[in-house]
Amino acid sequence: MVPGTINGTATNRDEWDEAGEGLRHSVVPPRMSDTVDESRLVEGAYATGVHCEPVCVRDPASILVRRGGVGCPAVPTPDPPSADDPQLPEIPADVAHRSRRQGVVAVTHWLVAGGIYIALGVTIPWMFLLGFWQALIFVACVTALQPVVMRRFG
Amino acid sequence: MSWAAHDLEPYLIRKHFGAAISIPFCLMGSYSPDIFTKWAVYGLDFAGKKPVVDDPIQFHRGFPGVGFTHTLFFPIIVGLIIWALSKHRIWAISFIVGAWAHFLSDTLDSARVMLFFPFSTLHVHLNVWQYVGDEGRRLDAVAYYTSFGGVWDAFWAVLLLTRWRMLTTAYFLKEIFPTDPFWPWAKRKVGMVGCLTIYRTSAFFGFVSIIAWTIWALFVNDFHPSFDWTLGGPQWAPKVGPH
Repeated sequence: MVPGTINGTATNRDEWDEAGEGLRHSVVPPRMSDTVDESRLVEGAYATGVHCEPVCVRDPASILVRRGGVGCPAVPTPDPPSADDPQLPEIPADVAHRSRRQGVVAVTHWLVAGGIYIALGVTIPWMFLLGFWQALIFVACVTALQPVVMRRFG
Repeated sequence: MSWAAHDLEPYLIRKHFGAAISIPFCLMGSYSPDIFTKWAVYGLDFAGKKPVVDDPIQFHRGFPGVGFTHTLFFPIIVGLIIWALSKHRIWAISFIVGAWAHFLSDTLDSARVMLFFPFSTLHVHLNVWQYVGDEGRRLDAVAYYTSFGGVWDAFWAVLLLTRWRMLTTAYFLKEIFPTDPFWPWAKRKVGMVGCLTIYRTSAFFGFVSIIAWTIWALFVNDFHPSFDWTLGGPQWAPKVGPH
């Protein structure tokens, strides 16, 4: 497999850009192999504000046509880069490093959040440890903060 | 009775069975046997000094009582209702599987579960740890997390820890969101942050509550602050069960 691709499909933001404007903004979750660090891929995209929202329809062409709207010409579906495409560039070292760093930051973010919640729970167990519903607001805040933390440290 | 195992089991069930399981409904099934009745078992305060019912164990696991919520039959009825209302078979099956996982954990304590009710009131139990729910949340937490109950929770936590990637945003977007019609609906209501919160909260709570309760039981609480890993332990707990 060519580095930077998943089953022959571009995986990082730059390559999505090369694949076409439409693909960059309407990502259908590609099939990924187990060898790819998936957390780095979309965690990073989520953190950097790329609209990487999945849809239930797995046909990219239909989504691209729908984005054009009524009266707009359908955006042609670009062919996904092939694994055999010799022009496909490899992931630059700095991009790979940044991706790895984003994964570490995301995991650290949740470990710190867990540590804080454990401290709160040990101190006031009846307020934090009686049921999952007590953690809902905390988890929502940690989830919402994740893109900010990723932008700052990732 | 288990504490955090009910929070963690649905994720591993989903990992094992894949798209055949809906995490939210599996979690609902896992919570359903206790969610409306456990407060009455523990009483209205943390220390268990304000009881709600005279015989909490009989109320929770027996009949007469709400012991029918801990039967194999109960989630099937609820699952059929979910199927009839939603037309989503995956949601019904997920609810049933989640509830059955709950019963599996509950058969390990001493209070017993009427698995085959209404056909039989036979109470199934393996007596691996003592049920101390009728003594209030505080003592129950001490008993559970210093006995094999805590080990059972830790077992599920370690299993999920080895599959931690399923809690990442990438896994959620790629594997969870597109395969369950619940999530597009939820996204319209609460957005993507809300969906991720719903998806992760039980796992997050499961992990942190095991660690926090264990620390609390051993280092903050002063009532039997030591492990008692004996079968049927802790030995200080009164031997109890429904009538």
